[in-house]
Amino acid sequence: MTEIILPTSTLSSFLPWAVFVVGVIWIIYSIIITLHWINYAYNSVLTAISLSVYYIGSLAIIGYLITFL
Amino acid sequence: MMSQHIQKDEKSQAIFRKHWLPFVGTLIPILLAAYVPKWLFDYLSDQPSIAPYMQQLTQGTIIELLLFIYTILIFFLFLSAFSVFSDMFLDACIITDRRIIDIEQMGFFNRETSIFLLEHVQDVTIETSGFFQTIFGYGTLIIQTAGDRQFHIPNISRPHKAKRIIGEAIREVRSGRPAGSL
Repeated sequence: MTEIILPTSTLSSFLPWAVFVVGVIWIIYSIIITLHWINYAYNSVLTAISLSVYYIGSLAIIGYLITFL
Repeated sequence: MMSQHIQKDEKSQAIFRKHWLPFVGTLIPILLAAYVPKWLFDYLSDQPSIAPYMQQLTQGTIIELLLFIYTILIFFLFLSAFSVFSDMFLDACIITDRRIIDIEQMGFFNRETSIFLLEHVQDVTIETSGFFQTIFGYGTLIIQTAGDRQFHIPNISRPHKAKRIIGEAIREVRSGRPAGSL
């Protein structure tokens, strides 16, 4: 059986870059989505709830990604 | 917010939004895409011929890398689910005492707002097709205006109520009330 070995140095340089790219995408997406909801939603309570769910959910995932670094 | 579409001397009669069921329908593939990698991993781990390799994967840095990639997948699926939800929730059909305003969000950068004067509306049709639309009470509202233009508002909630309110508003406009302008 062939043993699968992953180069640790490659991995350690890949992870921060991946997190950085995800972070940049998240910031751009968040700005657009927040502006859309503020400008076009028809109910401020639902806007607040939806954006809270979005920020809590996405930050939780990003927080988990950071633990890999 | 909504006031940007309504003029000062105009009165909103009703707002109709998209029904939630088509949103749930689009969520299913997203949930499946989140679950399939985990299911595949578990399934392959149970196969006797592949199990030793899968066991290797669960050790050391490889499992970390796989988990990392899986988390990124979950992140993008979360963003797409929220996009679909925004797309659904930011659409609206506003009926005022003068006009029908149909707002359609299409992706992030496309937003279409159609306005029809009630006095130009010639025909309003409701299309409910299929099991789910019939049971859950949503459908397509088709508004025919003067000049043979047809506007389709798909997956709208309570289309029968929308049709009734539009009918009443048209009757009021045609019964001699001053017509509005764009």
